[in-house]
Amino acid sequence: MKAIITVKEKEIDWFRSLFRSCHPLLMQICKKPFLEYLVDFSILCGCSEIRLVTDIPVQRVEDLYGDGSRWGIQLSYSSIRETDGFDEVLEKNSGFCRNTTLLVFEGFFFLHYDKNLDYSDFFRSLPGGELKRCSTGRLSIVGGSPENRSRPTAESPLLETTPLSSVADIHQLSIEILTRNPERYVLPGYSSENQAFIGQNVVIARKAEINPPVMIGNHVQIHKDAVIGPGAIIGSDVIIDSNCQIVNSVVFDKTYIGKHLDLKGKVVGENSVVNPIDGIQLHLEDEHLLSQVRPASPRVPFLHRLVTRIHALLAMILLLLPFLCCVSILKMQKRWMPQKQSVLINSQGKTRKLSRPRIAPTGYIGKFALLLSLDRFPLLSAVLGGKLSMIGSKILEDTGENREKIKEYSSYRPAVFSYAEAETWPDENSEWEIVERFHLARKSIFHDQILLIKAIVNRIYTEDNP
Amino acid sequence: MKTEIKTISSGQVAVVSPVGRIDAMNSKQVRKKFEECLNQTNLVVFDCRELEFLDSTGLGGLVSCLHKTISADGDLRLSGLSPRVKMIFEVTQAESLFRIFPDVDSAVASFSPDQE
Amino acid sequence: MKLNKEILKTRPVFSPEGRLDASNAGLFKSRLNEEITAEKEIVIDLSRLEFLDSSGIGALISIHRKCDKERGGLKLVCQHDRIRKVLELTRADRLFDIYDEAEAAAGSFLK
Repeated sequence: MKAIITVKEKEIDWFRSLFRSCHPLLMQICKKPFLEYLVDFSILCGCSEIRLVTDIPVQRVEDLYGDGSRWGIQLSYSSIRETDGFDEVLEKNSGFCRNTTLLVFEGFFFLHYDKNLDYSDFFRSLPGGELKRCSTGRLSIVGGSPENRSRPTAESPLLETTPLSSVADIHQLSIEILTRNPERYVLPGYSSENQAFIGQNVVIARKAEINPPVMIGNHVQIHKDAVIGPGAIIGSDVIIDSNCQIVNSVVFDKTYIGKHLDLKGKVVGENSVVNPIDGIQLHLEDEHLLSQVRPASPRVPFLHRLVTRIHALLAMILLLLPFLCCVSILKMQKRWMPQKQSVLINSQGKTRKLSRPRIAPTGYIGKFALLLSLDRFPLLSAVLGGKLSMIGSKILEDTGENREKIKEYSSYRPAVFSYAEAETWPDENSEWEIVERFHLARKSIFHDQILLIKAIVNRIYTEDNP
Repeated sequence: MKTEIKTISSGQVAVVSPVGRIDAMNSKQVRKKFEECLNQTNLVVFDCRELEFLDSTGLGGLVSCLHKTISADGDLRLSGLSPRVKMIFEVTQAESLFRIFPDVDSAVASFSPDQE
Repeated sequence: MKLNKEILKTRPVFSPEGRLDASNAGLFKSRLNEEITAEKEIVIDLSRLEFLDSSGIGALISIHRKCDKERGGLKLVCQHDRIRKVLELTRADRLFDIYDEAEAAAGSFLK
């Protein structure tokens, strides 16, 4: 038997808008990523292969689980379009679906089951069709044995669905599972006594209080006079400072909770506190109160930065004289249009004002200036300052639309010349993004030099430069 | 940030209406404005209808204002907190320090002797 | 780069073999553009490709556009492998209908 797990962007969008850096499929319920519940269940039913079919990027999932060998199954991935329905999902994965009974999870919902029960007999007896449904998804069988239609189905072991459509659902499910039936699932953490799941490397100050039921992840520090639980689910890499009270709340991975904070019935993660009852999200930018224990952002390697700065310096020295001459002439001819723009300089949304003048592509001096890319000359100082690269992503202006865009673009590296300019791709429909992502993933200084030269040469040939 | 003085039977109540954010940038300003009010009366209401956000400095400033009114034998009360700001107070345990009212009128009225 | 062609469910299925990169993307594009004048609904099977770079993706997108313009369509066939990863990394997978079997891809035109 095989399983297909299919989720669409519109179904997980509510989660993404609240918690940006967590992949929705890795969203934790009782510290266990959502996807793992479905994988566990599929294996329980006897599946040997599972395919994840989505229209959202799954790189983080793939990096974490790879080909599923940690579970002894084969995990594969495929893409669908936003408009594809159930039939299209099966069609696009027809090779996978051939000659087998399929368990299909469609949508974003939680499946209640019990690992101690036997499901394989039950599933073998099913004829096919929809099994369980809720407002955000359903569980079906495809290709069940047709002779099963006439036979009575075996009695169904526990199988229920709960929609996942808001923070309240995460909160309620987590607390419910922790307090009532944690033994139904394979949950992380060692529990020496009932209802207290503690991970590895957990440091609890002597004067801190832990009241079961409680769940604590790995590498957690709990400082003095903190009160944890009852009903607290703490993720991994969390620091809870002194005198905090965390009751009936869920704290996601990598969070720092400041001193004297009182969290009752909340969901906390990524700098924000969400109240499940009314969905209100409070962003706390104050590091004394709440912050993210941030992993070091991927830094451009030292050699790369050095080479970039050397380039910029050389360019500045070579072009300074032509720049000064041309600019004064162009200004007189009124062909030089200065422009200061606020642009985004990293994927976190930091901005900087840059001078991005325009040169009218007419007249000998104008054309000459464009040939030497003198309109990009003022950007070189930003390169020396480490804010821009010589070649990388197209510089995005600070607009609402672009701010949304870079949230999905963690490799964004604005530069004087963009990879798209090196490739002569048409600058329409954001296809330049495809080229950029490709080259940004390569991280090769050598390739970058070649592409830089290509970009400069291409500019020479496209006379009417934007 | 607006301030006005309302008169009630037992005296005068200053109503301070902060707008936007109170954070490290402007909490000094708020405190100064507040001190000016204190010269006129020791009964103050902060009408927080247009307050969007407070950070720890802002909160600290508010608490210090509270202490000043109390040492002048008065009180600082809050009204019109948005759900978000209310959560800040709840999470930081600051809500136990202040008397909080749904609107300005009830906050002002709470200073009348028959309400105390 | 070798380009194989077969007919499945009355639609042409092109299977490039080897590399599709800056050196031959242009050639690939022009060859397929010729074919599109006759047949507007085509399938390109990437299962035999060893390497795909951004120029290759560019060629695929341009062919896709042309098919759309001619009121036809382009479907891709790709398995779970390196090529699929490149499409996913660059988010180009959002632009195409991708199937894991050529027959299903060709058959989808008949709906």
